[in-house]
Amino acid sequence: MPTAVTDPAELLDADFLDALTRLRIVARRVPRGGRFADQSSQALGSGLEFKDYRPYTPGDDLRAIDWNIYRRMGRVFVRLFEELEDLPVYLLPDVSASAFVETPPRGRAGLRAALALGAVALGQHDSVGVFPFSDDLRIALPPSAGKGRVWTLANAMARIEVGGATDIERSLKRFGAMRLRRGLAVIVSDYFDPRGIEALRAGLRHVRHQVLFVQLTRPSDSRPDLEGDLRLVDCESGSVCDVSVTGDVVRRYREAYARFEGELMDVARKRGAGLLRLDVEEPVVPQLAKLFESGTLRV
Amino acid sequence: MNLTSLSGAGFWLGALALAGALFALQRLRVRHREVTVVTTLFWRDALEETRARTLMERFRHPLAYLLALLVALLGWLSFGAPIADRDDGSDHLFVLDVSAPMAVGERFEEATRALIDEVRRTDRAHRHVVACGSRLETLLAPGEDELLLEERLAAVEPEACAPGVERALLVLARRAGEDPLLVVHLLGDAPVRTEVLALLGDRTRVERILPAGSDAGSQRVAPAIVDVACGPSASGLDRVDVWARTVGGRTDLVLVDGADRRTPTTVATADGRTLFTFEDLAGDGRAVTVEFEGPGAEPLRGRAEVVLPDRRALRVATVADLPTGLEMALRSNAGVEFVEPSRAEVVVRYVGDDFGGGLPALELSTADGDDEAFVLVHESDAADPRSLLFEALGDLGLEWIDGDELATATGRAIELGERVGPVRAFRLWAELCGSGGAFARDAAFPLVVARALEWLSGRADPHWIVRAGDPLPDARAAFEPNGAESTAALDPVGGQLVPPRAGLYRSGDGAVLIAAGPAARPFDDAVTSRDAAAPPSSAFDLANLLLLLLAGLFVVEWNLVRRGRMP
Repeated sequence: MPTAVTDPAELLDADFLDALTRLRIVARRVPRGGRFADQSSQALGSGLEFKDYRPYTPGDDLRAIDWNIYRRMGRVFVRLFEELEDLPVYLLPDVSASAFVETPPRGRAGLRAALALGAVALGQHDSVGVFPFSDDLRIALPPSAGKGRVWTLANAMARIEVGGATDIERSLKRFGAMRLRRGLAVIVSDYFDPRGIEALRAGLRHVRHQVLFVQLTRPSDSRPDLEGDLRLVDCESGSVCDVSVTGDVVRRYREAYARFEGELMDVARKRGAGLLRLDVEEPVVPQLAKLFESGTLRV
Repeated sequence: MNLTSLSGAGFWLGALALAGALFALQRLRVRHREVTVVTTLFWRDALEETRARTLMERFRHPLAYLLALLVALLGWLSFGAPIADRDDGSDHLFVLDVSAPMAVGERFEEATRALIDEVRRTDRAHRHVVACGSRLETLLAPGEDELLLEERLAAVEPEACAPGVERALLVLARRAGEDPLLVVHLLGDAPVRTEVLALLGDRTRVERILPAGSDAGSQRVAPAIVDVACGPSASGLDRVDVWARTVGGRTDLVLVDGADRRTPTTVATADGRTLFTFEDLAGDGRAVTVEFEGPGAEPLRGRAEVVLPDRRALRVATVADLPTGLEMALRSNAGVEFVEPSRAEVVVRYVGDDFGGGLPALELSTADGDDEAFVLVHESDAADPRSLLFEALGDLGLEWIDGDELATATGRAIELGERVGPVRAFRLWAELCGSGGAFARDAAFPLVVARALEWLSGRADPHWIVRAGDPLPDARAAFEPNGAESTAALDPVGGQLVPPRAGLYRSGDGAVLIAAGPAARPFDDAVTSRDAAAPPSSAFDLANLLLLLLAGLFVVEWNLVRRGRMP
């Protein structure tokens, strides 16, 4: 199968990285169990930021006892500090055939968006894993951290083999079955599953992570420029659909597409997730920047 | 509604073909352009049924088919140039004048075109078309298709006859009965008098249709030769004059005599007619022609042939010892020239002489030799003896003889007999022809002798020249038609014979009649005229209406297609 790009440099360049340095992903609270990093975790430990007091129990670190309270009240309390841990970021780029059939391919913009988010996460010591999917999920890069792994991330993305039909439910189900530490799952796709949004809903039931939806779109999705008597061939399934494109048919198409977008937004809203509509014919980073309020994306 | 460009059957056949073709087109599979798309998800949602036009599948767009069929049929109907049908409940009789005046210029063609257009606009069950020339001929019976009319008209052309529309009206109006109203449409110039219209009654209305673009409505009189006649000339016994009368005001009539073209001696105009006199022609039995100089010398109207009477002296040879009475009768005839037998046309001899050989002969017999006082000897036994004897009474003037007196004087019965012989001969008893003979004393004797010589010579009587449609001057003349043109009925019972058309008529003894061109009397026409409805303009309104409707349907279809309501 062909790969997404022939050279990782097509996904990554200095300007691209420079533009990402101003961006930051902040999780409201990461689950405990991670390594020390920049994200606030649910764990209380030996961080720098005071969080609470609790009564001393045997075995507590004596250095944590607040002696001022003891003098005033005669009781022993220990200070609790917020534990800073990393946020696992799981990048799920859609590499099905539909993402690479057009020019420019929307999958390539999707990979750049995923890489950007991954680079931001790596830059703040979070771990990043890459799980491309089409008709099934694959592991392109297991979760790992380190600012210096951006190139490794780009290289892993460039080697991803593309093609196949979209089966988003199966892919998300397999992703959920991996029992990965809870983190941020970034699903980058056009979401053109033959079963529509319902497949996404079904797949998300198996995903316990915070989710960020990145929808790869282009203007012709909502305003097709087709006309005449056409035999439309689905690039993934090969199924055909004969249609005489008339004004009414186009109107109904747009209605169907708007309905699809509304359903996707509804899924995101109910999930408490973010949704970024990325125009694949426009530069990626400026559009991502809009997602980051004051340079910060809160998930 | 009638179609001017298509027949009814043609229209329906075409409509059927269109319906079939459109049906087949609706059933044909559309040749789709193949386009690869990222997903067909939304197209399937949006898609209307577009498989209707796949071959061998059920017909899914009857409304679209009906609309297309309606559009096509309207176009087809518009091509047929429909015109509003004339169906007012009355019968319509179209009388096409095919008399000689219609041969002038484009009159006949214009009239036939107008006729076809008018007939198409008339309900087929109530229309009847007749051609009126020398006789009435039905061109289209009620209920027949107008295509038959066009086919039959191709075989019709103007005849050399006078207009007979008045006679036709009287006949056809009687046939029409009382109900419903009969509207007679005249096509042509034939005039109809007020008194004729009055005879038709209230249930018959007559109108004249003036072909579009023609000048027939101006009541002009086409220049024409009305009649031609010959007569003795004052310049000599063997000379004749020719008279010709014309209408239309032209004065350039000439007489063509071989290579010689003679202008008239005198030209006089009276009562709308011009009389031309050509004087001092040799009366030798030759044919001459009178015609207009230049254009307009059509055979039926502007040209007429006349055979001049043969007024040369009859060359007769006689034996030496003729009875005195006969000798005197011959010598007193200025029209007889006595010549040698070798130059003679007729000889006078006794029965049994070989004088003159095989020439026709006036033969003298004896009362002992022949039972009959007068015997006609003819060459062929094919002739009807009774007819021959009957004609001889008039031709030889025998009817003027006082037979009773002759019988009394001779003591014999005076009878007329006939024989078959090698040469033509007229025998009579020599005893009758002596100076004291009973017959020689009869006032009719020299006339009988003279006419016998003429009869024997075979010279035709001076030709009667009468106008077709007028009765012959001699009611007893019975003529046999001769030639393809002459189809006149004989009238052996002695009634007036009206030759219906011009041509050459020959009697049993060779007499010839030339019926000259017909008269024109257009000035007393009492029929109201109307212009023929020009088919393009009358068809225009309805056809344009159809085209507008068709354009409207196109707009509807375009709108429906744009809105996706129709594939």
